[in-house]
Amino acid sequence: MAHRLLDLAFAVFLCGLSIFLWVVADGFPESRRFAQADADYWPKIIFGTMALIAAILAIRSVRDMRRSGLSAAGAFTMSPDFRNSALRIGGMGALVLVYFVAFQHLGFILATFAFLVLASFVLPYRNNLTRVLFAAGFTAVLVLFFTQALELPLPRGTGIFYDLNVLFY
Amino acid sequence: MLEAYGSALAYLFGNPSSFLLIIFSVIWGIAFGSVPGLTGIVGVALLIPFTFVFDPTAGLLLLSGVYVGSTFGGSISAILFNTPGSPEAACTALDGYPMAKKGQAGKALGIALASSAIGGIFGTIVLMLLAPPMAQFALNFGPAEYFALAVLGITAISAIGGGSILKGLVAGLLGLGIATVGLDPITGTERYTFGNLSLLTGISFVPAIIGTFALAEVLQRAGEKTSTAEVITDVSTKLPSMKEFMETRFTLLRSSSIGAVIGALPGVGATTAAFISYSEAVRWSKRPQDFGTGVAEGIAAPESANNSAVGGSMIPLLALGIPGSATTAVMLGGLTIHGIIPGPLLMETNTQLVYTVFIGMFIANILMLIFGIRAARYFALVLKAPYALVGPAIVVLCMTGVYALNSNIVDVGVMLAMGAFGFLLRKLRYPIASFVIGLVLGPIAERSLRQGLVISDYDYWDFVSRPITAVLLIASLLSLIYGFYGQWKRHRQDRGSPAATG
Repeated sequence: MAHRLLDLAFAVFLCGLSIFLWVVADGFPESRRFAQADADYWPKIIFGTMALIAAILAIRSVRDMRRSGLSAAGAFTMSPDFRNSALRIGGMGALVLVYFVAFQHLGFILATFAFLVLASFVLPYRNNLTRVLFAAGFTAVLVLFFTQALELPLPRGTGIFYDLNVLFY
Repeated sequence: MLEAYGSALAYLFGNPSSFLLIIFSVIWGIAFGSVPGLTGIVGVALLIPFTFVFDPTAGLLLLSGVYVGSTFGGSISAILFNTPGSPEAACTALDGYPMAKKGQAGKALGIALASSAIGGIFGTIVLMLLAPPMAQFALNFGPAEYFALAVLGITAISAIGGGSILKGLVAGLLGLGIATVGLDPITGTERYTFGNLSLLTGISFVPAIIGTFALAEVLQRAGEKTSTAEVITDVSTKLPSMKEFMETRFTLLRSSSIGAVIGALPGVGATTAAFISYSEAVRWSKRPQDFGTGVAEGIAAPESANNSAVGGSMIPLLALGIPGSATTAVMLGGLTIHGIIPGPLLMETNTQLVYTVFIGMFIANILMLIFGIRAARYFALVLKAPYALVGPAIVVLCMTGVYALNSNIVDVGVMLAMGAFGFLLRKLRYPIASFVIGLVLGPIAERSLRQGLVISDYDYWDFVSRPITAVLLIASLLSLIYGFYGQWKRHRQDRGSPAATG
């Protein structure tokens, strides 16, 4: 049931978004030369069609929910498995975002090492020594590979972290 | 043509490192193909940023080698773990795993390996023979034909994917919609940038596909329970004897032919080829009742077909510039970062690249055979690697690879956003392949449609009634009708099944 509600919510969202983007396209500046197939021509076809199909999907979701005879009550009750899974996905997603920020400010080495160690806690793993050795080894291999073999840049961070990273690459 | 092959051979022998690249790419492909969830597409997507340091020919050799290796790699986990590493190996598990359970895992791997190599070489030969004349024929194509081809690509992949067609179409439209962000290709008008200068050049394709495939996959796997199924790792690959080989020769020939033809059709990829070949093998067999219990033909048929489909699926990419599958769509992204636009003119202007790739794929299949014999047991060990270490390492590779492309942190942001979006699409069962095909074909479809309309003086009938355009558009319509009919039939069967009726 929760999945059907999500399906319905996403279809309604897509329908609304498509209508909004269609209206935005309608406001694009016009060109006299290509008036019959202007900048808004293709986006309007896409978002018009998408609004229509998303509306059909939404109606179908409502129909399926009514057919199955289940009420929305209890739709949000979560099994322990589902809760654990959601926590792991949420934790991993949040960690990736933190890594993205740290990537710019701490530079590649520190951010990557910390991310690899912390991520192995989010996705359960028991061997502490392996997790630290793997994080250190993988970070070192990537630094060597990118900066020495491929001669491609890696972020150096800002402030004191910049000075620290310059020592390595 | 001989001159082109001569020039390609001269390139390969003049750059011995190309052979190392092919070896590396095949190993990388087998490793990614063998781990359930990583798949060949992720393997190809992750390598795209690294192709930047090579010349375009070496870059494409790398990507096609991964494609070849990963298609076989999927069979390793299918046979040893009963969990296909990639969708195209799903059929291999039907007979591969029962054979492994009988204590013949090495034999099952050997049959899969030999069949994959034979199918792969067959598909490559078909590619070599068909791509040049098809490109020659495609030189007659105008904007209307290209628009119709793009429409066929999107509708076929949405209709034949097996899931909800409406969701497939929405996913394709989402891809097309995202491709409209940036400057209008004809008038130069800003579209959907909302004042953000970074969006003027559009959504970068490579970060988008790396996010959609690789990052979304890691998030998806993060939510899954760790499998407790037993992995058979103590194996030694044993190639089939000549007698065993001769017993499967017709199956190999039939399945390789099916694979090459189906692979060349837009939207119908290696997975469909494998299942059709399997059912044909059952139909033609004298002992159809034995299928599913671990018979050699049950492994040979899907493996030769899915590897043959690799060569087949390269035909529309190289000859027409239209990717027929998600992997070739990702490869198209790899080509465009080198400024190479696949299509009929590529055969005229960049013969060395195209023919080197032909030979490279041929070599990759032979190398796969050589490495597969010795290395299957080591690839089997890859299956034991804890995902708590592998998953985060993939995230790091995604971030680093995308950043290294242009030293641009905005690209990394795009990759993360598309990763989250791709994850949402997967969770809600919107097919990612349709989304990516839409993203790739969007600019081609729009430019062709608008140019075609200008040429035909906005006469829609003139636009759609050109013979090739009409045939392609009718094929699109038929693929949709076929898809809706299939879905309706499945729905009826589900409702009529004992489970449904209670």
